[in-house]
Amino acid sequence: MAAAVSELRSLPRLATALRAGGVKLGTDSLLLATRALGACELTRRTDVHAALRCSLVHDPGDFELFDALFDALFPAELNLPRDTRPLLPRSPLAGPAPAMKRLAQALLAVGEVRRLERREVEQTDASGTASDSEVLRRKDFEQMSAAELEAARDLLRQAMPRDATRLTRRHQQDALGQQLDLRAMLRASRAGREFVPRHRRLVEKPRDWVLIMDVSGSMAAYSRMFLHFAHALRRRGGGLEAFTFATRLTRITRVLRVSDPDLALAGVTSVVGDWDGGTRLGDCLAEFNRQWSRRVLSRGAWVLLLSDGLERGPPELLEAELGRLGRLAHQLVWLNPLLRSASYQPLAAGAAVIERHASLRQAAHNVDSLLDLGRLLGRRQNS
Amino acid sequence: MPGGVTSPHSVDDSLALLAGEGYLADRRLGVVVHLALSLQRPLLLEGEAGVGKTEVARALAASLGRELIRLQCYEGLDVASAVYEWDYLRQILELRLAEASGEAGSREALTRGVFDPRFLLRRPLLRALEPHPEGPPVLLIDEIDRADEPFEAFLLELLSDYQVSVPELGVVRAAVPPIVILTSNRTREIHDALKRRCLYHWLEYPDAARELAILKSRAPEAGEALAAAIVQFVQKLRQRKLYKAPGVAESIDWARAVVALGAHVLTDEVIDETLGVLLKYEEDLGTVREALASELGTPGR
Repeated sequence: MAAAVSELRSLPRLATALRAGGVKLGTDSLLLATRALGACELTRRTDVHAALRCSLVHDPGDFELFDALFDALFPAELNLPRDTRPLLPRSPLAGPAPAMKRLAQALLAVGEVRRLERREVEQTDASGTASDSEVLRRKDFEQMSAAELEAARDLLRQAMPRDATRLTRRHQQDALGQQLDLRAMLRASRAGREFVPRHRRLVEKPRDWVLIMDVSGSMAAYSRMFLHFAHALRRRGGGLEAFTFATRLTRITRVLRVSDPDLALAGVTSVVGDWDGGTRLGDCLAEFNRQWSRRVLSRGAWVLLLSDGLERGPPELLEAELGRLGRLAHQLVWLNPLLRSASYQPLAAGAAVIERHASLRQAAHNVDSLLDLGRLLGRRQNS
Repeated sequence: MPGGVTSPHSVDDSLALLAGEGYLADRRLGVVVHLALSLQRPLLLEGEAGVGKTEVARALAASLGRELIRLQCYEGLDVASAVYEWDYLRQILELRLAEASGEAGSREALTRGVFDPRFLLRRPLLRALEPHPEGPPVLLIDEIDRADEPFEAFLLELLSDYQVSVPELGVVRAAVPPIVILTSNRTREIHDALKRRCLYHWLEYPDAARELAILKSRAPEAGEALAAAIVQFVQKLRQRKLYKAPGVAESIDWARAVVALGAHVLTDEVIDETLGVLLKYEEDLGTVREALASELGTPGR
């Protein structure tokens, strides 16, 4: 049973468009799709659709893009009675616009040029004395010039906060371990004459981090730096999930995966639609609890809430959702730039609620405070 | 296929196969199951809890007359509990016995005696690769998202070659690959490489008509009118913002619970008494109870 010519001819175009839209697609998937077409009835459009989708797309988040492309490339009239034909194929460009932008930027090597420029700046800056960098580490992000911000983010990238670990359920050999490793003992002795004790212990892994970052108007001076911090944290080893919120919640984990910081941040800018908006923390946390908490908090993650606690929504909602978040997280850490001043009191309605539910709080207004966070978490290892 | 039912040859066959065991699948799932069987590819099913992912494997095994081998994943799942393990205590005992009876012989012979299939504990993945008289089994790798990355990587290798090696015995290879179904609740993203090995399907909640048909076949004691009322209520619940919307499994349980209470219609009272069968979060129970009083309440049918 060979696939009809028209389907096969459209397949590479479909694949190209899917790739352009950010779907990772290997040759193996294309081969699989071809075989799948060969194994099903090509007279039914739904069958062709299902066969292609199950072999090419592996994430429900990409379904919309796939469906749009499928409608555009596999005209309905080939196989379907007229009345069920969709009125108009949606534009394939409607879905992956941010991804297209990413692609265009990558092709134009915008990031490359900017990176080179930055390197030059760094080289000239390298003459700066240690005390300069000391000052920089303590200076509030809010008061920094553009050049200082640039230097501060490089500092953030270089120093990685120390990490807290958790015990996994997996074992590794360790002479100082508490448990006997029978498997290793028997294998080592082979003929079974003399048994030498071997030991094992549970493996430790860095804990997952979940960052929920406020990008509303009141946090404007800090949110970019937080994003750089989040991007630098990718190198940390443990899992990292990142979300932004102002009036709605946006997951930015995927765009942060791009290794070039400028491209990654450009990606964030294109997906986050509520920069500098008002704050609806309660609603956004409700959304997080419903849609994401089960997916990203199942392994005892630290939740880092970066916010000044200025909330426009009702405090009761915030109370309920924060309570829930606090119970689900390993520890809920509140990072608040306003904590820089010793006299700060959480008087705003939202701030008081967060204060009650967070198990730790930490200032987050300069490089030092962000790096201190690692020390704070490291101290509370496995608690 | 020897013994069992023959494999389906079309999408309709696959649908009929599932329906024969009371699993009413939509066309899409039919296509995907058909492809998994005919292309001998693992099938990765994702979806909310309770949409019937595990049931697909059960229904397939039952209707094809194959053994269902289930591997429940959890964090730290390793080769010892997924593939094989030697029975150390019995091995050591064997050594002592050989020593005591003075027939210890050469080291070589002892080693052979100890690493004998008699002392091999076969875990699900190894059993799935061994020959089965009724045809290759259905291997259900349940909740793969609960396992950790090292196990995923191991699985990747297993699912491409359908073989494992036991150093002391040699390589075990499946003559015909088992029918592999993986499920995931998406508590974690599965690695791309593993996904690419598989056919991927996202299971949705069924629409009202299909859910009614499912209820009629799985909880026939409920009767037409009650089943319809239950489906209508559950479908309405799924529109609401809940922490955990009720799945099909919950609808079936609920229908049975209502019948067990001797009720034949859904009154607000009955709903209130049995809501715990449907919703498992205190917060959800609260919001729905509140809404019951106003818009959700049944008009005294």
